[in-house]
Amino acid sequence: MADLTKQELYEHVGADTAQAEHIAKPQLSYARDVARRFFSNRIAVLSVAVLALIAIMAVIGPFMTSYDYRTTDVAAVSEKLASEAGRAALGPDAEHWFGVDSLGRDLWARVWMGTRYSLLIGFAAALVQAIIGVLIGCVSGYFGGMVDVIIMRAVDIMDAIPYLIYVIIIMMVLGSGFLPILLALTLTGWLSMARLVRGQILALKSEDYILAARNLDTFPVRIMLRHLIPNCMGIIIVSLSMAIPNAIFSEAFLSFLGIGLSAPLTSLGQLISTGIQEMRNYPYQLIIPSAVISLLMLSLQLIGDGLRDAVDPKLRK
Amino acid sequence: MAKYIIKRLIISVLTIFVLCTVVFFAIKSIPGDPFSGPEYTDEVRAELNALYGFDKPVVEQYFVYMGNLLHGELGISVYYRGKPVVDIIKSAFPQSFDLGIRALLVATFVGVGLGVLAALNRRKPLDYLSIIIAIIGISIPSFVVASLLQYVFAIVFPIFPVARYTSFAHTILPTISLALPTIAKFSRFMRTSMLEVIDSDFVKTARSKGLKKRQILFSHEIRNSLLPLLSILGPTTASLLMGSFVVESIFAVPGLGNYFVESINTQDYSLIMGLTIFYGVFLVTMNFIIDILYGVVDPRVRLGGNRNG
Repeated sequence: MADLTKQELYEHVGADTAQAEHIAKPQLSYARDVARRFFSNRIAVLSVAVLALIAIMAVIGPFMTSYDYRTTDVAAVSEKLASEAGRAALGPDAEHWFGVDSLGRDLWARVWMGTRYSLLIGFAAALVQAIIGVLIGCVSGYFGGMVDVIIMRAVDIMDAIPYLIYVIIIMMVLGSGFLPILLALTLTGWLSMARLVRGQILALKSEDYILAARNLDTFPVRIMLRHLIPNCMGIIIVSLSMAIPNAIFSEAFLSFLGIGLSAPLTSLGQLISTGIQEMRNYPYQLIIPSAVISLLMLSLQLIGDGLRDAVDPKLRK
Repeated sequence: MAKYIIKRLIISVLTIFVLCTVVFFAIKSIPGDPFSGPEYTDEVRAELNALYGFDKPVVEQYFVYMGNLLHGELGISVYYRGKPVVDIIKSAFPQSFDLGIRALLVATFVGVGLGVLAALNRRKPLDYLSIIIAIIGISIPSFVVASLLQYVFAIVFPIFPVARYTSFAHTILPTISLALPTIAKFSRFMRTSMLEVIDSDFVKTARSKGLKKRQILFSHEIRNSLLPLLSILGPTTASLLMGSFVVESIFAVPGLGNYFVESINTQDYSLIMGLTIFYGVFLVTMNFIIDILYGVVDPRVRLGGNRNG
């Protein structure tokens, strides 16, 4: 033993360059982690597929048939209504895949056109609501003090009454149509987002990196955009995904009350409310749009649930 | 506690005031004149405008309206000539209230029951069944549910009457349609709340003390999971109210919701205004009562000051 030199006692292992590069598990960014969790949820993935299918049909559906969604054909309908056999022929057949409505308009074209407008209103309204809500919530939470008190009291006061009542009043002032609906929904729909973002900002505000940014005299807008909003992104996206079915539902509700889109535009809600009137004799006019809106709402709801679980696995019960 | 009540009271009064003001000026800014039809001569129109006070400047009308409000008057319906809005509310409110209470009771029993069963049978078929019911109840719009129920159970299989609201059989379909979204909400909420309580220390203590299962279930688990349910009672009242618009007009229940939908279609602005304000006052009062109750039951609420932050 004694004649062994230091050199022999300790063997130099060296660094295995190939091993050094080996990482057992790839580092996942937050977004990828969320995506991985989301896509491992089978129900959520299925819902995305259903939503995609409905969205594709909303885009190409109206072009698949040679009939226009606006063109009425009252003569053909009244001719068919004259005979017993003709009355049954109003329903779905090879010519009109979903049948025709009481004015002879092709229901296939109308249903997909209505889906298109429902989706447009849902996504546009939810997006604008989210932007307004995030901005107001951010300002309220970050500056605190009097600003916060005033904004939050205003939110409390507006929130005490169901927003659909405000929406109805606004719609009556503006008249029905695509833009009025969008305006009415965005004016009233930002409350919950603002409240949510404010709560999150209040929690984040006391983090060290915000303190550091403040000490470096970073402009508040930059702190919000660079640090605060990206850190709230999870709950913002979840809340956004919940706002979409809400907006679609609100539009359908307004259409049901008769103050939604104005003809010749149509939406699923409007098709259903006409369908209800024809239910007794022509149930397909109610059942087809109802099935589409139910599938749509179901898939959006499940996607929202999936996103919530993916963003915050702790919430999964 | 007194401070908490006063704070809530001030917010409630302010809310009602803001609502009335917004609704008044919004409705006044709607273009058009209720008496502009060709059936009115100039004299008749002038007389009607004078009768309804529409000839005065808007600001003066506002003060008159607000003054009348303090006396509990809501103006006169334009569509139902000469009928005070208050009389319409008085005649229609009982039906709406009846339907609302029925739906709330059904929703509470079924929703809470489903939620408890789901939590007790976690990740078993019963749990999944309750989740499916909840998701369907949340995602299918109430007018779809109501009209499909009407089609299936009153037209295809004439088990229940199609419409109106005169006997017990008449109440069943409207009650189910109105209760379904709330059943869904309650069962989901109850399930989460129940799962939390089942895991909590005091339940473990109760179990280790050797209390009977039934006793733990009712006096520890369900009792404590019910508490948070109170916090969504306010929004639930509001959603039942919005749901009643749809359900009442589909089943032709002569209630407030039906009048509201009708007044939109007949453009009866004084009725809309009166009903909106009535709804506002009703909801704000309900929220006030619920807030106070919640403050009594759960001291953390009033000590914490702001529930949301």
